[in-house]
Amino acid sequence: MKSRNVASSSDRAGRLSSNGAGGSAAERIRRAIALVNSVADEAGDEELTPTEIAEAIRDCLELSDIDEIPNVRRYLGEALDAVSDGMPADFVAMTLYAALGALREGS
Amino acid sequence: MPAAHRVLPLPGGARLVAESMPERQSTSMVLMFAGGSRLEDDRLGGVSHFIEHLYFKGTKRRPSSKEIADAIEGVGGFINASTDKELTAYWARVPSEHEDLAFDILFDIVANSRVDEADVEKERMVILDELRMYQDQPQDLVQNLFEELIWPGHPLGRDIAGTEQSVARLTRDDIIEYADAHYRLPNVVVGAAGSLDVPHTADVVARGLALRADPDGALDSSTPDPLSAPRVLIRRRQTAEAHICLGARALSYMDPDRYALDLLNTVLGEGMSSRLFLNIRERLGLAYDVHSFTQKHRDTGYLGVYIGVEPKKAVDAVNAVLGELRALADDEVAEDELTRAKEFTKGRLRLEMETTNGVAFWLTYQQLLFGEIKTIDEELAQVDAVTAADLKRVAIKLVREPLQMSVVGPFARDSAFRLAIGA
Repeated sequence: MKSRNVASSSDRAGRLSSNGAGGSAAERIRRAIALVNSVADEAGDEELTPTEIAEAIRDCLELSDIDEIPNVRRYLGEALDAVSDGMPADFVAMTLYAALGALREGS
Repeated sequence: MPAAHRVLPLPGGARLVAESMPERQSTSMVLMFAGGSRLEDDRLGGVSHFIEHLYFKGTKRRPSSKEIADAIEGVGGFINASTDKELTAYWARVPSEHEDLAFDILFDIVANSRVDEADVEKERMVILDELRMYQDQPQDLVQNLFEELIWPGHPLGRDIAGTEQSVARLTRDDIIEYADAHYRLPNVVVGAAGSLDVPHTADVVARGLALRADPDGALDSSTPDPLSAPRVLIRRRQTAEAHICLGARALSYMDPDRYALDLLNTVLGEGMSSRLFLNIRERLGLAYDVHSFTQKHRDTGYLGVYIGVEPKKAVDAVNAVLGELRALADDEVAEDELTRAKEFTKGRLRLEMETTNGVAFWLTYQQLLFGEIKTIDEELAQVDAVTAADLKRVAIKLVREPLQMSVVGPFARDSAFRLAIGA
């Protein structure tokens, strides 16, 4: 397993639309996970920037229905902080999976 | 059914528990001493375990470990020992006609070991290696860390083998002094089961067991302080899997609800029909290895869950486990699930009783720790008496305790883990 640092990707902001706005909270979180995983696994064709990943997470945070389930917003906030702090992509992914799992447990 | 065992007082305050099983080919014998790593302060951490190792190095009559091994293996027997937190046991299993020999070797080991200075140094190196090996085995490391969290600053929270610092500092005098204080007749129960004649066994033990008779008066250990808050302890290691132990203080083995706790543990995470296995592994595919376990002592205990999981799924798996714990506190388990758990528990206990070794340990353990012995039938009846309401009551108690979590894996920070358990 790779453990690439999110902040170490080349910073070409705005190149990729990472959020594709819309969808349920679970869909948006899955989309953010897919983006982070492509960094973690070096699977993507193009390099992603922290800004793009942060945007995808902010898309999740925009939805008010995440407040109905405990901790989802807090996990997403942790994920956003982790991106800002340049934490490894695997760590960001873990926090997003936790948010997705909290949705599953709470639904 | 009347009890098949007999409890006989021995000179000096020792006790013999013996059960004749005439249809068996073997006899097993156990010398079980009250005490263990729980009685050690930080300076003496690991001394009980050190003694147990050293006692196989040679006695006055059998001056080397080879002579001890030859004596028992020469008749096809087994000999071994184990150190626990509240007891230390030396045991052997031999074809029945060699019962006297096996007792003679065990008595020789515990009363006449040479504790040679050179052996102390050699064994110190072996134990230090053992301790370092645990550091390299994440499953062991994470459980040791978990116990540090469950019993912080208390000997119960320390590895039975001690710490590298304490083992490095123990002197031969420390070891001899400690053994002399604890290996005394009032602190030992001798157990025997197999094809034996109880009066003969009693005679062999009474004549052969030569330890000091006066009590040492040093068998007390403080009760751990209550835990006030949830905590997370992370050791960062570049492992491919994350290793997590999660749990809370639970019941002592003196608690009448211990049977309910054991069944709760079975329902939750013992075996492939447990909730953790079926839901976390089979349904969600979150973890390869997920199971629960308990540890019980005189005045405390815990229930823990081990999770071996891909690091990215670590917190998700923790949350899923917490969901299973909460479900046990929210709803009574279904009658058929409880029945399955009871049959699992009773079946395992009966299978343990298949061997003379199993019976000898079962009897000795109870006599030493409880001062009385339940027959298998009495024990099975206690299991059968547990209700779904009992399990729910114990689960509620458990989830109200502050959760503790240890993690070994490639994690740079603990924030998401702390969030999961409210730490």
